[in-house]
Amino acid sequence: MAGFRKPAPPAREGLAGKIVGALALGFTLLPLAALVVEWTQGGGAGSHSTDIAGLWELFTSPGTLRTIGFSLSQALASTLLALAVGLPGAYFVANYQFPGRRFFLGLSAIPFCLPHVLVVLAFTLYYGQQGWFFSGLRFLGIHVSSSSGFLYSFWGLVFIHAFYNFPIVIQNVGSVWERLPKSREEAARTLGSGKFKAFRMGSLPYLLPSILQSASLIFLFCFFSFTIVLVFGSLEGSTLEVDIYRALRFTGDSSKALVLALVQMIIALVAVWFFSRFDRKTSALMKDFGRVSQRKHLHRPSAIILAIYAALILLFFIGPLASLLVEAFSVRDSPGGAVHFGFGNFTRLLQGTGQTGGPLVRSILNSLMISGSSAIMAIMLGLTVAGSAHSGTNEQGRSSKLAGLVISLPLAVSPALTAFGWGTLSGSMTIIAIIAGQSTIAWPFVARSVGTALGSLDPGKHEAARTLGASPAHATLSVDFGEIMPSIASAAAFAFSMTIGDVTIPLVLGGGMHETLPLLIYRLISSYRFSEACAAGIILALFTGIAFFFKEKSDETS
Amino acid sequence: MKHLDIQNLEFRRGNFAIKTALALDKGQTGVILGPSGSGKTTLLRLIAGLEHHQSGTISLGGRRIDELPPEKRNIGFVFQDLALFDHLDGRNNLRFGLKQHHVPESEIGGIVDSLSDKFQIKPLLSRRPWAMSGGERQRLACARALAVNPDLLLLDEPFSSLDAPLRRELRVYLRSRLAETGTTALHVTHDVEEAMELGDVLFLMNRGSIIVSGTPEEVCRKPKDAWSVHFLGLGILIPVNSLASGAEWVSAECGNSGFSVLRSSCRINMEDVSNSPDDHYVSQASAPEQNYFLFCPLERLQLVQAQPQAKRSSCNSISGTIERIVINGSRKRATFKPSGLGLRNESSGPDGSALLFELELPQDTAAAPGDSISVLMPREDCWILPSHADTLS
Repeated sequence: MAGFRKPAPPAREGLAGKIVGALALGFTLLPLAALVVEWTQGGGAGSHSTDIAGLWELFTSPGTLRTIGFSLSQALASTLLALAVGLPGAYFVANYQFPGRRFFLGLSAIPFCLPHVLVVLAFTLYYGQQGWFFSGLRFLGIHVSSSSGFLYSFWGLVFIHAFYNFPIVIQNVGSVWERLPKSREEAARTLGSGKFKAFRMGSLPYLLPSILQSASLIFLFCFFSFTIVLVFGSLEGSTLEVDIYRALRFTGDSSKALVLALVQMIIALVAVWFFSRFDRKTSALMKDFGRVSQRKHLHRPSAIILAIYAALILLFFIGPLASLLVEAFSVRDSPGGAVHFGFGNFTRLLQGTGQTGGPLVRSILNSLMISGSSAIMAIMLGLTVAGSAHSGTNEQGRSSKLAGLVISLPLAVSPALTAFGWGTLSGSMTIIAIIAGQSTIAWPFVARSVGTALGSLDPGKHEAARTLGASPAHATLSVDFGEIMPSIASAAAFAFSMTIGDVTIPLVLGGGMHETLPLLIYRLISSYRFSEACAAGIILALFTGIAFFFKEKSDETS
Repeated sequence: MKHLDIQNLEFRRGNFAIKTALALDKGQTGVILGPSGSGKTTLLRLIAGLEHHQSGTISLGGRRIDELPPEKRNIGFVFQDLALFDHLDGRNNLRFGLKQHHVPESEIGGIVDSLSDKFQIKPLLSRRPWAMSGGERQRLACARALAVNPDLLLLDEPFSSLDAPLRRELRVYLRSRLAETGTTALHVTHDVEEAMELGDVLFLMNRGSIIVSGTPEEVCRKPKDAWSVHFLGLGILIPVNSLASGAEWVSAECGNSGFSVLRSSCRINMEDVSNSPDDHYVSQASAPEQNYFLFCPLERLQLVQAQPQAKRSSCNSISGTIERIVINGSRKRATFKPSGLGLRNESSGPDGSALLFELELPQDTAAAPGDSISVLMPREDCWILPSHADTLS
């Protein structure tokens, strides 16, 4: 059982691999270096100190410790709640055949193609004082006094994070569970165990890697959460990412930003290490288990539990998304007036209110141009690093420690810091900084995706092409490249989907001149123009949805 | 009273159904033999309580167990994939069942030691299953299942993933361990050689039913249907077009050839013959599985290289060609394709299989592929069999 095997000895790559690795590492760490330079020069209007002792003092200050504590506790609580919500779904999806099963699996697209800014909007609309949820409760005669404050509380934040990320658990754990042979659990039963003990002995140890893989991924997402915390988390605390943004953008405190960024990076690296470790184990188990086991038909008690579960998901999770859609097409004759269906919100965004025309077309063009460029750059970087890491893999397909670090490190670097660093390095060329920043965030995902495809290449096919008369270059181009092409397409679509929904980097860089769709939505929310924000959100979701659709299609092909 | 007694067991899932009965004495090893998809594994899972049957009873040691959950049946199960717990070492895999059965800690050590001696797995106790070889994992799985002293041991093709020499070695080993412990066992396989070697009783299973049971010798010497003959590779089978019954002999017409068989050697529904005009049966079968077959056991066949000069009155004969010769150690086997029978269909074997036979050749034979030969079948050793035993009324 490969998932339980000892890791193979690491590989070493050649000089070219080391150079590529060092360059990629440099590209990732350049923004941090820019901040360090700024700090040593005492830059930033509100900078505290320029020596190590000063940094240590900042680190141990109550404010910093509170932020660290808040970041960790909200990420941990969100992860646990996401697991609690997602695991029953994974169980049903993996073990039963039922109408709506594909819908549950489809939910996994949401964390990847619904930008955070839209989540903010959807939850504000749905769980706000006048939103569907509390209006519904009032209609039923249930009055919740503190409804308006829930979203802005610690648990409100945890709730949003959990409901945004639980589909990851359904997808990742469900994929292993549906392949897991039942024989070990059955063996435990025949050896005298009850159902629960048999599950604990025969199934849980094999599901644990995928549960921990999902948990570490969700922890990372929540730990770096920016937009959601920026809007909802201000009452009870703030995450490191938001405080880095505030230190860089508003107080100009490079010392504080540096301390917070370093702490964040260290914690995130631990989470990335966990993720990589359990991701490898999960992939190995999936490979070992092979094909999907036959799914059972629902019997009565399970059907009732599933119906309750589905109703809760619809109520708490699909509800906000539905309210987003409805709001986009809800046109009011006057503020607080009658509502009717129409395209008025879209028209207003297209035509604008002044003489300069609407902001929608401009922001769409900006988004397409910036995200397209970022995705292309991310693909080039990701391909180079994945190719170089692959050339240094050992017989067991394990890449070197340097390659692992190069691919993992960017996942642990603050996007706000990345934006700031590239902003400093590019001077007044904000657009270059946005593209560089977004590609820094996206390329590790490309490298991972392509790296996996390269790792599963069958050398026999390359050799077959050689015996049929192809030169090494031709065999690589016609056979190997053809095999990994769907993965490259998938990675490209994912990189595009990620970057077009990103709000952090343009926001940090104050990209007002290059307003992207997420920035437009953020601006509309800030000025309480929710209906128009929803209309712009639908357009954004359309782009990310199309990109994600292509990603899924490419994944199926590969 | 039988130790394992299964009566009128019925199980249905979609188009697949099991409808069978089975009985086994204490200490015996039964082998369920059948093709893939015949329901062998499902039958074991029903006995273990891992699947739920619709009707019928399962009794073990005189008590009904079919309503009990798997953990209360005291049945050991060796799964096809062995289902060892990879996160536990060998010792803890062995201890697991003992702890579940509340065996006192003071006794567990002794049982583990004794089992590891018997199964020669002492050096493996500190190793995880993934660090063991295929044979070692197999022995650990068997030891684990036997640790709790089960009333019945079920083995679901546990040797299927091993190479031939190791399979042979483990068969001998398992046979002696089962005899030593006096364990009643039911073993599932599709390997005829394995079944013959391990089984005190053989159960031939097809399409969800046990169609033949008996000692390996009974099953091979007195087959009940053509399908069993074909599956076990027991001899020559030729589809019958028509039968005409006399007082002592029955004449069988196969294609354009005629054969004689003792009336007492016909395992057929004689009403098919006597109800026909002139005591004459004519096959109306639209598929081979509804047909009757002429059978002659391999060991009774005589091979003649040229056309027989004169037809021997005591023998039926067919001619054909040698398609291929395979030398396997001291044995020489030929694939024989009959010709001149004038059959309408090449695929006339039971279940529509091709009419090709494996024949044992004498070591000193000069026969070569492509040679024409005649096969003589003594009339007293020929049988008429239905294609499937369940077609017998």
